[in-house]
Amino acid sequence: MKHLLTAISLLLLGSSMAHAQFSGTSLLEYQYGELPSANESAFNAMYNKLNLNYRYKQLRIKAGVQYYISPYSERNYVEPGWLGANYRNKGWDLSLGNFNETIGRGILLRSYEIHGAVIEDLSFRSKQYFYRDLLGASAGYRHKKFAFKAMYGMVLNNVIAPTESISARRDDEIMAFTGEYKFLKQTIGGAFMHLSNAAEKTDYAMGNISGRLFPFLNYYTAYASTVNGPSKGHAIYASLNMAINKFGLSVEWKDYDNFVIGSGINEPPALVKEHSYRVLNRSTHVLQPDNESGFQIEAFYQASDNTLLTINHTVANNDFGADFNYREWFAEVSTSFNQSDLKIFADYANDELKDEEDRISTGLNLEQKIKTKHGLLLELEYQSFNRQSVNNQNVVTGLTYNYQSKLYWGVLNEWSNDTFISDNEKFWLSTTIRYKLNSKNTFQLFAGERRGGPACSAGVCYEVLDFKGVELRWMARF
Amino acid sequence: MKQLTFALLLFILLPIYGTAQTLRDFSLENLDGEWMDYNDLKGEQLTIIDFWASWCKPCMKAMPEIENLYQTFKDQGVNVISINTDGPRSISKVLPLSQTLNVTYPILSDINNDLTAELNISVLPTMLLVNSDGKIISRHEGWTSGDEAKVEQHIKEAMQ
Repeated sequence: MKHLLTAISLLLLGSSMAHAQFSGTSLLEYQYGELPSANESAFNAMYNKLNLNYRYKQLRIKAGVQYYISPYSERNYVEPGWLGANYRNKGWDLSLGNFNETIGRGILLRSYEIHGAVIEDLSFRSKQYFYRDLLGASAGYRHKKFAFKAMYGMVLNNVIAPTESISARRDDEIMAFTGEYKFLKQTIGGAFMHLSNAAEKTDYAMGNISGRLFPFLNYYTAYASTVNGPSKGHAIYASLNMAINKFGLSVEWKDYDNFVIGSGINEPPALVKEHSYRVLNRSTHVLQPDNESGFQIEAFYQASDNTLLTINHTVANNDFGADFNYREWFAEVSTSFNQSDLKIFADYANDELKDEEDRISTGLNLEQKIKTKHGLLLELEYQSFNRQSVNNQNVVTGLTYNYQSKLYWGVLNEWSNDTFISDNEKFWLSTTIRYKLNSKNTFQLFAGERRGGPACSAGVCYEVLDFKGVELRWMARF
Repeated sequence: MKQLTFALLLFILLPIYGTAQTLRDFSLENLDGEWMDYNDLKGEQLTIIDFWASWCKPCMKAMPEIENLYQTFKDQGVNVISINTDGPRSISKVLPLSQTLNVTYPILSDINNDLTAELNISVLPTMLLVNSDGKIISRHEGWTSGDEAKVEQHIKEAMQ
């Protein structure tokens, strides 16, 4: 910690002397409350993530730290992270330390950072930022016609909490080479990756072709396979995307078999729509790269300047000794009239893996502008499905007032009789106030009870735990 | 405890020290898979950089308004660069969705979120106004009805 602070002080001093640039972000979260599912009383806890960036011409140096403080010493930690340097110049891109890399649309490797997502799991009960990066080095060169990159790193396994050793959190070691060549708006690419961890050593290879065939049509195809390892696996992904006038269409196809790499460092395209509606986001189908095939079709139609129609159909098949199928049909109309924005959706799904039959979801979001600076958002959502011949229902109602983008004050109520959640009916009631003090500081206060469950953001799904209490967040940028 | 006090002190002092961020040149692929440089796309006077994703509802609401601003100011040395932050899960929807929405300004893909992290983007949509020296002079986060007037005001002020 001392070394980190010394480094930061030197950066500050250096930046003022050399007219270099210094910036950063911080997320500070204070909680007083309890997990309703855990057998413990309410307690105070604080989580903070601080990131600092220093830039001088084409060089960028970054440093960060996250820490968690609670009355339970075994859950507390201080972890330096996001440490590294990056140099970009004349096509060269060199990174040292922590860096992000995605290979083949996530088929071989996917790193990410889900902004604002602080996760906690029931086994470690420690909080950490939800991200996955590599600790190592990479070097790449990019030209208009071709590009190549070599990298070595230890990939973060964010299922293991920062209270554990770095070797446990970064057991997957990879060495990879990627290259691509471009001609006539087409790209041919290839990648090779060697994985080494405590359990296995495996080599993977991937080839992909992508490009634009016509001004209105582009495509991406990739095939990846194990080439040397204890077991065989493959991943095939293809997409065709087009737009003609006011009509847009995206068609995707997947076939993944035994393609979970290491602790799950890859994230092949899921081909399942990521919904922003609460009941649908929570009941999403989570991709199983062990064995999954299927397709997704999504169409857009701009009926008028203010009206967009979206239709989605998703099919996913899993074979785990027995067949499990997932089918979803989704339709949404988004329109504006007078001073109002209205979104209406309807969804029908069957999810055999989760044993949810005839799942019907529907609802609306109505946003009403009041005068020029005020607004109200009404959220109404309803979901019904059968599990083992028992009908389960979920209801969401929410009302949020906003003053421009400066102040939001919302009340959210959820109700469920899902037998997997509770033997009896259950209510969750909460209020959230978000206040943007200025362009650098935003505060958010939550009070009440939050319903947990699966959540998906930016294409990555994770588990949110129930929480009952008060939570204050301070998000700062400097 | 000493470490924590140190960290908190640092956290409080840093915002006081901070100055406006400037951009370093970056390259990202457009929807044709061609590498595009910021320096080749930036406006002579002002550049609007819009960070968005296909799954972000307020982003969809903002894009037609940004297109209107682009059409209004493009002859006055203002350019718009759209930075799409969709990951592998939803990137295939970017072309059909953006063309359906009649977006005519250039769209680049930050699939790795490198630029997003470098510019400390934590909310979608985020709109940056960047002057000809590469200095970020305004940052607009989120989108509600009426925000277009506020952004237009910022553009006019920046061009004076």
